[in-house]
Amino acid sequence: MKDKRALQKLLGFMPQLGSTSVGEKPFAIPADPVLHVFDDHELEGMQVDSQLSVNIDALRTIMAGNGDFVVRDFVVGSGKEVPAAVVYIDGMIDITQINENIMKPLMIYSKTGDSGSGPDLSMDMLAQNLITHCDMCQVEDYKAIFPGILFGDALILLDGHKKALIVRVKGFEKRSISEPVAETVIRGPQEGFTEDLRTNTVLIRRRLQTPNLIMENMIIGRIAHTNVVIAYVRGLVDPQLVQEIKKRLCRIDIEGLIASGIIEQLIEDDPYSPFPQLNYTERPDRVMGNLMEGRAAILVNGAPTVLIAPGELISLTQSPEDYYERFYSSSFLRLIRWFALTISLLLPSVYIAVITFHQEMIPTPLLISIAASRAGVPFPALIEALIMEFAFEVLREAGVRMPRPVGQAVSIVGALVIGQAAVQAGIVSAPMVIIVALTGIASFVNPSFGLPITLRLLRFPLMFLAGMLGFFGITAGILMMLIHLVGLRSFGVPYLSPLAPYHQSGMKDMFIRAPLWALPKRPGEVAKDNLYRMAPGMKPGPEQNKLEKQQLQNKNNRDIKSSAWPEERRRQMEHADLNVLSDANLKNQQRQGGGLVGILQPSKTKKERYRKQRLRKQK
Amino acid sequence: MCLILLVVIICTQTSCWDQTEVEDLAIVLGMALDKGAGDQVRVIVQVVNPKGMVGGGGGGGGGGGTGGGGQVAAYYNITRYGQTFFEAVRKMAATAPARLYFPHCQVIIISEELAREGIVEIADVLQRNTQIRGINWMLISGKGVDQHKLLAVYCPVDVVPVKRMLDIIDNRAYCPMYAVNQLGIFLELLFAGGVETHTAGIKLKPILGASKEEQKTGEIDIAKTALFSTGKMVGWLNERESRGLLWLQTGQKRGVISVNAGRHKQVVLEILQGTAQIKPVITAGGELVININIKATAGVVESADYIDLANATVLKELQNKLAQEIKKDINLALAKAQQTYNSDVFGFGAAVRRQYPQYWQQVAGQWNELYPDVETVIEVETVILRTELISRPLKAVGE
Repeated sequence: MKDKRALQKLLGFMPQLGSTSVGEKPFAIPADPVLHVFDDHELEGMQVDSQLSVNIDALRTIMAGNGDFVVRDFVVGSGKEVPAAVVYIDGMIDITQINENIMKPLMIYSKTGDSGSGPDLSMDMLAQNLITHCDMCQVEDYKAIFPGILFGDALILLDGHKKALIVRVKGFEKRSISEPVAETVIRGPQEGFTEDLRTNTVLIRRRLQTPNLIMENMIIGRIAHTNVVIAYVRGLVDPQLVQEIKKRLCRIDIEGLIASGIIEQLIEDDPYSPFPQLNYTERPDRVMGNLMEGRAAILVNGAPTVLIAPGELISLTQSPEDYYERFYSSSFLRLIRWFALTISLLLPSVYIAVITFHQEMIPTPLLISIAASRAGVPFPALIEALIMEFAFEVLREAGVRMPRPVGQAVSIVGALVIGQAAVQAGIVSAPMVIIVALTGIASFVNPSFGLPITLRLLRFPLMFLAGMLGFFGITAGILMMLIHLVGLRSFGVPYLSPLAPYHQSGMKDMFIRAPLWALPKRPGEVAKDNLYRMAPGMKPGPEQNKLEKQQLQNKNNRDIKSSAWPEERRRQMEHADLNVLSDANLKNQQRQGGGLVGILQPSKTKKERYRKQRLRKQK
Repeated sequence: MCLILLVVIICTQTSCWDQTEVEDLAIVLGMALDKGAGDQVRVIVQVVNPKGMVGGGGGGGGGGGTGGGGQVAAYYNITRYGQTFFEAVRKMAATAPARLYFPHCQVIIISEELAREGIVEIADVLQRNTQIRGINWMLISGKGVDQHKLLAVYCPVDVVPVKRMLDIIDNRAYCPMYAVNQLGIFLELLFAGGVETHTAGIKLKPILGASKEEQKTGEIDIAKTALFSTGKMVGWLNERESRGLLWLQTGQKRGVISVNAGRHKQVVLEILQGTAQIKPVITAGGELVININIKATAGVVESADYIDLANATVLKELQNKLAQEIKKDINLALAKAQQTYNSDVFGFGAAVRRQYPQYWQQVAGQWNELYPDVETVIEVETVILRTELISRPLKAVGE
C-alpha cells in the first residue's frame, strides 16, 4: 500500500512513516498496517504518551482496518480546554453508560466552576470528581489497554498525561439465561449456563454464598486469550486436586479455547481411553452439588457447559434430580438407569450371541417365533444387527444436525423405512428392529451425554466379538473393559470407586439412592479428609419420639455417629475465612508456590513432610 | 500393529466357529423310539416349522410332513431305521431340510415293546448326548399304539402334537392318573439303588363328540404308569393305582376324590395338600416294617347328598371316609408293585438305606426277594379344611 492517500483513508490521519515514538519507545507506522502483525513483543514497553494525538495515532495504527474501532475526541475543562478522547469498540460497550457517566460529566460538569477544573485538571481529578462510574482503573502501558478495550471497556485519554483511564462499561448482546437444552429436569431449578463466563460464575455464586467459594481466573490461548475459571470450595476440595488441575491447565499452550471440550481433551488422564474422564453439565445446581462434594469446576468463556473434575463413572450416571425426589422414586430411577446402560452396551451383542451360538438358552416358543421372523432374512445376525445399528446411528445424527423444519422427514423415514419397510422387505427381522430400537432409546436414559456415547461405541466391538465367539467373546470383551476401567483414574480418583476400591458408604449412593439423612458422607475418594457433610441424627420424625430415640442412641453407642461431626471441626469451618489471612497460612501459601491450598486441613502426608523438614533443620 | 493383525486374523479366519443361524435349525420338539425289523431301532422325530407355527398355521401339518394344501405345515415328522438310535438320527440328515437341533426336544416316547426289552442302551445315548436335556418328559406308548399316529394327531389348538402332550402334562396335578418323570429324574431312578424308575403311559383314544377329521386320528390320552424293574419295563399301574403311587411320592395337590357319604350319594373332595412320609422301622423281632404316614387336607367341592357340613361329627365321618379311600388307593398300588411286578417304585429300599445303612448293606443283595413281602403300615390323617362357598348343600323347598 504505497499510496499515502489510501493509507490516510485507512488510518484516519496522515501517517508520518517511521518518525514517531510513543512514550519512550520508537513507534514505526508500518507501510502496510493491515497486514502487519502486532504481537505482544511489539506492544511491550509502549507507554501512554503525554501527547494525545500520538496515542490516538498509535491506537489507530494498531487497530487499522477495524470498522468498529471508535475514537471520540472532545475537550474538557472550562478555563484551559484540554483535548481528550474516548476510545472503545463499537457494540462491546453500553453506550448510555458512556453518555451518562463519561461524556456528560466531562463535557458539561467540567465546565461549571465548582467542579475544580482549570489548569490543575488531572487524571486523578477526572477519576475522583467527574466520572460517575464505579468500575475503572488507571493504566500506563499499552499492554493493559488492549485486553480492556477489546473486552468492552472504554479508554479515556487526556492530553498532557502519561496515564489513561479504563472504564468498565461492558454492554454487549448475550443470550439470556434459559432452560438447559440437553439436561432437563422436572423438579428443580430451570436455569442453565450461558456462553457468558460472568453470567455463569454468578449462577454458581448465587447458590453458594460463602467466602470459601473460590473462582480463580486464568487466561488460556495465545491469540484468543480465553478466560477460564477454576471454581472450588476451599475447605471441601482436596488441595492437591486444585493444584493438579492448575498444573494441567497451565500446560495448555494453544491459540484459543473454543469450547470446554477442548480443555477436557487436553487435561484428561488417559487420552486413549474411550471413557470420559471429566463430567460436564449445563446445570448450575449440578455444579453446586459437585462443588459441595469436594470436586472442582472449570468454566470456560464462550462455553455453556462446565467441566467437573474428577469425573469418575458414578458421577457420570447421577443426575441432580436424584436428590430432589424422595428416595424411593430416585432409587427406582437409578436402577432403571443402570439397567438401561447395561442394555445399551450389551443387548445387541447378547442377542447375536444367543441367536447364533446358544439357541438352547432361548425358551422354545420364543425361539420358534424368532426363527419364524428370521426365516427370509438373507444376512447372518451380526450383519443384520450392524445394518440396523448403522441405520439408527445415521438417523440419530441426522436428527441432531437437521434443520428444525426438515426434522419431521427424518422421523417419518426412520419409522417407516427402517422400522416397517425393512422388515416387510425381509432385509431385517422384526426382533432385530426391537433390539436396536430398545438399545438406542436406552442409551438416552443417562443424564450425562458422554458416557452413553462411549457405551454406544463400545457395543460395536462387543457385537463383533459376539458374532465371532458368542458368549465367550462377550465375556472376553467385558473383561478387557473392566481391566481397563479398574486401572483408569480421573485426577487421582479411581474411575470405578466406590465399586473398586470398595466403599461401603458409597454403595448407598450408587445403584440406589439412600434417604438423604442416611447419606452423611461425601464420596470417599473425592472428598479425602472432609468426609462428613451433615450432622448425625438427621432422620426426620415427630420431635417427641426423636428426642427419646436420640437419648437412647447416645446412651447405646456414643462412639461412631456422635464423633462423626465433632464440635471442633464445625468451629474450624466457621472460621475458615479468618484463618486464610493468618501469617502461618500466608507462609504456607508461599511455600506451596501460590494458590490457596492446604489451608484448612493439611493432609496427613503434608503434616508428615513438615515434621521431617523440621527434623532435618534441627539436625 | 502385528499384534492387532494377528488378533484380527485369528478372529476372522476361524470363520465363526460353531455359528448357526436360528433359521438354519430344525428344532426337534419330540421324538418317539420303537423297535424296527430285526435288531433295528426306529426313530421318529417331530420337527417344528416356525413359519407354519407363527403364520397362523391352522392346517396343523399332517402325518409324515404332508402339509394341508397350500398352507405351510406347522410341523413335520421324520422317520428312520438304524442299528442304533444315534445312527438312525444321523441318517435323518440325508432328508432333513436343516440341521436337527435337539436341545428344545421336550418329549421322548418309548414304545412298550422296546421298554420291556430294556432301556439301558437307550439311556446311555440319552444321558451321553450334549444336545438332549434332562427336561424331556418320558412317556411309554402302550402296546398297539402306532407312534406315527401318535405324532400326527390332529390338534386344532396346539397345532403340534408334542405341544398338546406338554399341555396335558402341565395340568397333571388336576388329574392325578399317572406318575410321569422327566428324563433326568427317570435316569436317576433307573440307576439308583433301592428304588425303581417309572413314568407315564400314552395312547390314543377315540374322541368324544368330535369332527370327522378329529375322529380319524383320535386324541392323546396320557394315563397309567409304567413300572420298571432292573432296567426293564414290567407292567402297568392303572389309574387308581397310579394315584396311590402319587400319594406316596410327593404327596399331591388338586386331585379329586369322591367319597360315598352314607346315603349312597357322592361327596367330591378336592385335595388341597398332601404330604407323605415313608419311615422304615425294624421291630424288636428283627422284622422290617415300613410306616407310611400321609397327611392330607381337602375341601368339599361338590356334594350330591344333603349333609350338614357345618356339623363337626359329619365332617369327621367324611374325613375318615376320605382316609379310607386314600388308604385303599395306596394298598392297591402296593399290591401291584410288590406282589404282581416286584418293582420298588416307592423307594422303600432307599428309605431303608437312609435309615439303617448297615442293615441295608446286609439286605441290598437280596432286596428283590425281600421286597414283595415287606410289611407296610399305612396311617392317613385327613383334614377337611373348607367347603367352598356354601356349607349346607342346597335343597329344594318342600323336599
